[in-house]
Amino acid sequence: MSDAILQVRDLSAGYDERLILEHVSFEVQRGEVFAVLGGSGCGKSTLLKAILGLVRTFGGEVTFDGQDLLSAHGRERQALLSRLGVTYQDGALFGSMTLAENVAVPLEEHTDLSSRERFSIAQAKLELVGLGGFTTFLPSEISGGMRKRAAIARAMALDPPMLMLDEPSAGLDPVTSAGLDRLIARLATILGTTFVIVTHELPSILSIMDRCILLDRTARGVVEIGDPKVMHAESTNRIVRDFFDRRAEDDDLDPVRTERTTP
Amino acid sequence: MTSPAIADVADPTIREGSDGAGGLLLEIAGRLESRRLHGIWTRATKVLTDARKDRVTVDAAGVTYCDSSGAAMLRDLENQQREQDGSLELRNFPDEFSAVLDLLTDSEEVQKEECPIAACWPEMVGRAAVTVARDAGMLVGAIGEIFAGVAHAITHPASVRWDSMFRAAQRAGVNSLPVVLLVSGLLGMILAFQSAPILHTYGADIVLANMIGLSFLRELGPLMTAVILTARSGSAFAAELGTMKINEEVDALHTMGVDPVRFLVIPRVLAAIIMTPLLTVFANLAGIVGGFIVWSGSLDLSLPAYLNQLEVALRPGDFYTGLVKSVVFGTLIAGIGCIRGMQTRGSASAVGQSTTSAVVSGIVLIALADALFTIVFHYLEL
Ligand SMILES: Nc1ncnc2c1ncn2[C@@H]1O[C@H](COP(=O)(O)OP(=O)(O)O)[C@@H](O)[C@H]1O
Ligand SMILES: [Mg+2]
Repeated sequence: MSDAILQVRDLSAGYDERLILEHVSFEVQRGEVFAVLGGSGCGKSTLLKAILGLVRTFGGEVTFDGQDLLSAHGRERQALLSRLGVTYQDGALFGSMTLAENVAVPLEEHTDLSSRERFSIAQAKLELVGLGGFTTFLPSEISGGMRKRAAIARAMALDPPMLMLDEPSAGLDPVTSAGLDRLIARLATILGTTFVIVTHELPSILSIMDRCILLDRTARGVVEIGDPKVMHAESTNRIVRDFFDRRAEDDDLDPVRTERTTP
Repeated sequence: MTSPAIADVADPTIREGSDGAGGLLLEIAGRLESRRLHGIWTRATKVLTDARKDRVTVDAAGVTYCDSSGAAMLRDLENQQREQDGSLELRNFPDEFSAVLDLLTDSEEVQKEECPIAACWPEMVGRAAVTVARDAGMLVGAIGEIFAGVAHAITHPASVRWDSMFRAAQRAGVNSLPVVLLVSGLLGMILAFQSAPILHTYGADIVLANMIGLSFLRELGPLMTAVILTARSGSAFAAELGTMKINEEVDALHTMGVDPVRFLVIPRVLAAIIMTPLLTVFANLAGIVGGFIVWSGSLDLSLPAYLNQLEVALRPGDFYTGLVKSVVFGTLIAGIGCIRGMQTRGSASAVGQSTTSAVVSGIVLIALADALFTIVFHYLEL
């Protein structure tokens, strides 16, 4: 038995009749930091939502911890999803609740903890991401980068075995972003948490990821899977070369050149 | 059944005893993870508060797993002990998980954000008072700005964004027509139906036409239309502008050198100024038709008689005073909707608050204005 925590097989997904991803297959091993890479608009967020069953899928299979995630229903699906922490690209914090209340929502749903106990845990998770002093703040009262981190704290509320983060470091300054990378690496080694990290910013993640998958808009899916360092050094695929060379050398985002990835 | 990893494991356990030197000993064992902490945490809290010992030792030799929630519990127990002026010592905690405890104690990974100082209550009272005063001032200022904008639009028609005005007129006005007709027609019928028996008792059946005609032209037509438009369009304006405000679209207009009042508010206010009197005319008609249905059905009188009686009862002044009212109502509805929208600050939930506030202030302002009109028209003998 392989030790894959997440298996995606032949997954096709899109919106309405429009296919964004075709025949995507990959596996994430338990405890690894797995990155989903690709330029803006190539379908990274769509892949994440397809895995969670939040967008329309046109065939394919997703297995999480040995159980089928797409065909699960009702309580079974909720139980599965509660063991999967997710952050969305824009944070998706509940605007009418304080940060501590936001983090406490999964605890309230899935544990018997008293409200004082929930608050203690929420406080600890917020401290973990450097927001210990902001428990009583509303999401609208903090910066975008802080909202990102609060969303990560909420995703970690139940200490799930796997965390899926959509663009966690976008909008963070380099120092905070590097700190976040160190936190991710530390959680992966200490708690054995598996990470699936969606990003278009290569430098921020290159140092901590074990394996990655590169998506492309024209290919409508996976271009290559593997160790990013090997891909960077050896790949002969033009799309892989374009992605790594541009981002690794000049890590500023040049919109004109980014657009040119699509001929 | 959930995953075997979770389902097959028992909850962690806690056992209390004495450490042999007058202190309390707590032995905890098992998996310390968020879903299984409840029992042991509550128990430990109770033991700590009941015992009130200065010295407490937690023996964690039996712990087989600990996640960051487990670490949060241990830290909370320590804090509780400290609040009781006691101490808590953690013993035999498995080495492999000690890094989890360190996660909480030295989470210098991510740079800590400094928390701003919270306000004390005199400051908060003061701030609230200033906010109320500023809100009232802003309202007056905003209304002035809107009137100036409308005056400018009338004298400089080329400066108005007419396409946006027509779109607002369609959404706010034309699309409201069915509900205005329905509500006014029904109201006319209800009013006639309720009063017909009383009028009949006094042999004054014929006066029904006077009553319906006068009350709709002077009062009910403009008022019902205004209330419906407040609910339908005032709220929509507040929501539209509020959403634009929190998406920083209004800021974008500012920085592009475009006046948001001219760009967003004036077209909507003009649309309301044009549409409200038009809809009022339809409301009047529907009410009068509703009255006629009862007139012919219940009192068995003819259409020529109804029209004739209306002609006798109504003066052009009744019609025009209603229209003047409705123009003012329309301005108030659109103005307050736009003002509340522009005042929106913060997150998406603030849009909901602005919408509610637009409807409430709209209805209050309409009632006030209507009362004022009644007094003024009375003394002008209109
Ligand atoms: N809700 C939606 N409805 C229709 N198309 C969408 C929706 N969200 C995203 N798309 C399209 O799907 C493609 C991939 O988007 P996304 O997954 O967000 O890209 P990425 O996260 O890689 O930047 C884009 O072309 C985008 O236009
Ligand atoms: Mg995305």
